[in-house]
Amino acid sequence: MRKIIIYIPVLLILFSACQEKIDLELNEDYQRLVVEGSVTNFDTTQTIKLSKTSSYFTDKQTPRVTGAKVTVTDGQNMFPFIEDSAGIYTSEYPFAGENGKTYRLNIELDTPINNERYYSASEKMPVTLTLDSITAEALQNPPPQVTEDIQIKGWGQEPASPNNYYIWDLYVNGEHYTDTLDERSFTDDELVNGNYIPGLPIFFYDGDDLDTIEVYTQSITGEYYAFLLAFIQEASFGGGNFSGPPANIEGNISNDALGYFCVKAVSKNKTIYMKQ
Amino acid sequence: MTFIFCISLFSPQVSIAENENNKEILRYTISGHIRDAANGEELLGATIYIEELKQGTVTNNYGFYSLSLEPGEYTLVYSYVGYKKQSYTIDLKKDIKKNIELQPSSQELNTVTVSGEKEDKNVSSTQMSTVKMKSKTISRIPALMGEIDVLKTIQLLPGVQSVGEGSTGFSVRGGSRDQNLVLLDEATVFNASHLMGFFSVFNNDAIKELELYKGDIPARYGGRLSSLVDIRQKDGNMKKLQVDGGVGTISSRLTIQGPIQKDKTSFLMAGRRSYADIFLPLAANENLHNNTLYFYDLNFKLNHILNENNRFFVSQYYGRDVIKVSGLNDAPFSMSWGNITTTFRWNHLFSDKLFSNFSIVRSGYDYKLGIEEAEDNITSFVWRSDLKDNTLKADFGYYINPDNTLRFGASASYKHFEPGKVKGLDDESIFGEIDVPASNALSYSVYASNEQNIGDNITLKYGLRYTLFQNIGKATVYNYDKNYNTIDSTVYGKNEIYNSSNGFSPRLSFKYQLNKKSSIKASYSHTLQFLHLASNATVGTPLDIWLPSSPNIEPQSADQGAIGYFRNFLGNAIEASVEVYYKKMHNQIDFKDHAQIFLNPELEGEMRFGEAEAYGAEFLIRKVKGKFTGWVGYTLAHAERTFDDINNGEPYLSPFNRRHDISIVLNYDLNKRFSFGLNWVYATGQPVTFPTGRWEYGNLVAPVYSDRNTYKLPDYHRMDVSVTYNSKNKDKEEKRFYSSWNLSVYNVYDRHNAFSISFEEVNGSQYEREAIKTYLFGIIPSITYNFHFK
Repeated sequence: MRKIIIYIPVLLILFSACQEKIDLELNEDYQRLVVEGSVTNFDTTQTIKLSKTSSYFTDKQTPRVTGAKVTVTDGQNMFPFIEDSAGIYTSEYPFAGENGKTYRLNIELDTPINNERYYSASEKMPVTLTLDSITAEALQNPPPQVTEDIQIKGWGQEPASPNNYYIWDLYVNGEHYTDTLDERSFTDDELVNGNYIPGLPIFFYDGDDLDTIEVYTQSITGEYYAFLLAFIQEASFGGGNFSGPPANIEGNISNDALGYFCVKAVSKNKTIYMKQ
Repeated sequence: MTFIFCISLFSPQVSIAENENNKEILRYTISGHIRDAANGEELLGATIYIEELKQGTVTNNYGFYSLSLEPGEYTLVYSYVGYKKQSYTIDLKKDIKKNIELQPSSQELNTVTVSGEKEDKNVSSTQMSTVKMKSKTISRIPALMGEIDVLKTIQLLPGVQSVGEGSTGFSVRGGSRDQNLVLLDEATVFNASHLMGFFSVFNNDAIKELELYKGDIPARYGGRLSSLVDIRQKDGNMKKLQVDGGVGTISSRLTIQGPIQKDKTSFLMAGRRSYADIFLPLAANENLHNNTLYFYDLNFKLNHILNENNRFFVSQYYGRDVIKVSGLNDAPFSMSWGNITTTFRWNHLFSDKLFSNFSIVRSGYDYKLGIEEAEDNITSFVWRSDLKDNTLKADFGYYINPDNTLRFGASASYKHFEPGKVKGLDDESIFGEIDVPASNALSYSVYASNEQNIGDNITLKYGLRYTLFQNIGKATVYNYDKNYNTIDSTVYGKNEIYNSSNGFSPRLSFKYQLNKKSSIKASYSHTLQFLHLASNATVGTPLDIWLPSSPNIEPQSADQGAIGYFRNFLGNAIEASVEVYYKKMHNQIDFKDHAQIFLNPELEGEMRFGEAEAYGAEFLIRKVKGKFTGWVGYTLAHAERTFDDINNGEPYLSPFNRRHDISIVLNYDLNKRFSFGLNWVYATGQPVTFPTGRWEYGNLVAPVYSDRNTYKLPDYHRMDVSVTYNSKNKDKEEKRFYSSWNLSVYNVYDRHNAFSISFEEVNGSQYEREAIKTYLFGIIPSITYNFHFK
């Protein structure tokens, strides 16, 4: 709904301003650790990625942080992580997170960043939303400019507890269709709390007959939901006098690190798209 | 406290003096109106000077004056800059009514009167931090696209900052955009801009004059913290029919005014419409060809003098912007917004000493946008927002004696807010219905102030205003915890008063006349503001959301102190002043990071509250007489904010902070045919937040930002020039028809001033970015033809 705000820039274009490149000197001394990782309820190896900030005008990916000691505890057990490839740490053994349990991530860096060697974050696993089924159907009369004309819908009982937040992730024929964050679907349960979800449109995609469609329903915390929305907004930031000042996004990692350690409850549904 | 102290100090003196004098000394009153002999317009702030007493007074906002003197023979001199002086000798033995019509002096017509006042008003008036401008002055300053604009003209004065290139939005002494009260014939204008702020809603042809108060706001006005812009429409020519018009680059204007009954009743009607949309088919971008884009203004005024003691005015303003662009599926996206104001006023003289004015004022602002005619019905929607204000006012001026002028009055108003309502226009609409709850408020104010001369050199002005502001149902109020999370909401029934806030606003100012040419002035004022604009953007958009103070929003308040030295040179031809001010503002509003402002029923939960501080020094030198006129202003200023929840509680620069600000405005009359104008402005760049690095998450690249507002845009500077050619009639006022051509060039050396700087992907790769400067205007020439006949 709030997407109608997108019309406002249309108006601004009318006063088609001129643009030109400008050289800026930015003060880039301050480096920070970036954490991207999760623990899910799937019995699998869990992954934590460590990187750090880089100069704004570089044309490369940001550098990975190697040689760190990474562990996750649930209060009783400790799960050690080992560095799989540069900056990618996976749990030594597969383990599954449990609903309602709090997980804590501890990081000890080999070389301190910004004089900090130790970082931590913790989060509690929310309740799971399990969809009964998903369907994939072609739109009846798609507008001509729409190419993503296959609609995926979900059915299922939404948990009774209020304040649940969901992200949906889509795989088509084993390939990650929504591999960047802004392609995924997000919603909260404000309008459906505790009700049966009657065919909620989750994705539109452009596909072929007999595609195997896998949808991961991820139940996340409200904090992570807010973080993601703000992150997507900042990542697509255009700047300007008509919006508020930009600002850094608060994650849940200690010592001023960026990023988020999220604990999420995931369920999976599968269907095959049949062209009729 | 200061105020109460002053009252007790001075009022006993007044009353003792009167008690002693009552038996022995009689006073008679001479009173009346001062008008322009050519068109019957009231002259506001004209001077009446009593030679024998070396004392005088000035006319009020309705051209009325009153002097109570002991019996005797007096010579009264009536004067107003740009008019011939008139002397009048009276033998005061009884109360006298004396209306004076001053003849415009053709010789002085060609001089720009920046301040159409008593010649030494700069020095002799108690009022500080104030500038008055007549529409004639404003019309001679080079303007963007030749569109003469009162609100852009005041931005050329020290202490007043533009919020963005070409914008009519302004900030006064570090205050926010919403802290300026803009009045048109006493009605609040909530959004004074057309076309995203490039032009103001005021048609200069319909305007008589403007007065800007940057501080020391008189007690009879209240409701905003930082400034008052008091704009008055012309009353309408009482003598003969007059037509003024102009054809400009982006709009045309026509004003008709004249008597319905000579010297009794007159009217004024003015209209203006832009036609930028006519040129859209020429645009390079084909998508623009079928778009609509225009604004118009209508001004209307009627005034009637019933008799010496009663006069009526009705004034109205109606203006609107309309935009229509072809959007998705060829369904036109449309948007329109505008203000409506209506003022009814009754001037009544209870006696020669007691002037009164009663007003009924209604003003409103609304906007509407949406896709209303979509073929694909599920995408059609409409979004509306509306604000209304109805006010009743009574203002009194009691001219006790030449040493004391007492003003008092009261007002009551009812305000209705509809912040936003959206609904899809089809059953299967993809848009759900969003209704940000409406609310209502009542506010009551009373005030009293006195201007008092003490001896020959000291003048004091002191006043107090009290306001009670109440929220009334029907309303839904959300309740928040200390972390601004919504707990629940409370629904209040119709007419139920569910929240009250109130406060006193004392004002005090002081003038010490050092000698005929120089004076020192000081002022203190405490101001309160109960209406707040929800905006985290520095530049305004039409989508303003005004909110009343409420259980979640405390009223804003400010304490401002200023001290200044004023001096005139060369027989009042040059006026100079230096003012230093300090302003502390409380309960200021800013928004949390990534706030959701639009269509958010829980908007109050996005607000954060803190303190702001602004201080600075303003230097102004004006030449007001001769062929060569104009001014040079310089401001050295600092404005910052401190919010617990923003920028980790550290102070940050206000977006309106400009360390240095210079404006030069020059006008040269070569002869009766040609005149030239030039202005140059310079301001330190606007504080902004830039990235200091980047990070990656979920395969997206995002910036890491500096602390808030630690960078600044490149410094702003620009020069505009204009030349005006007048048709050959020598003595303009006496000829039936005359015309002029004005050629203006905005941004004559084509500086690309940064409006904003953004960071954009290069070659479609999110890993490659560059900084892009957006600028709005290069060099812009324009030509305007103006005509006048009567």
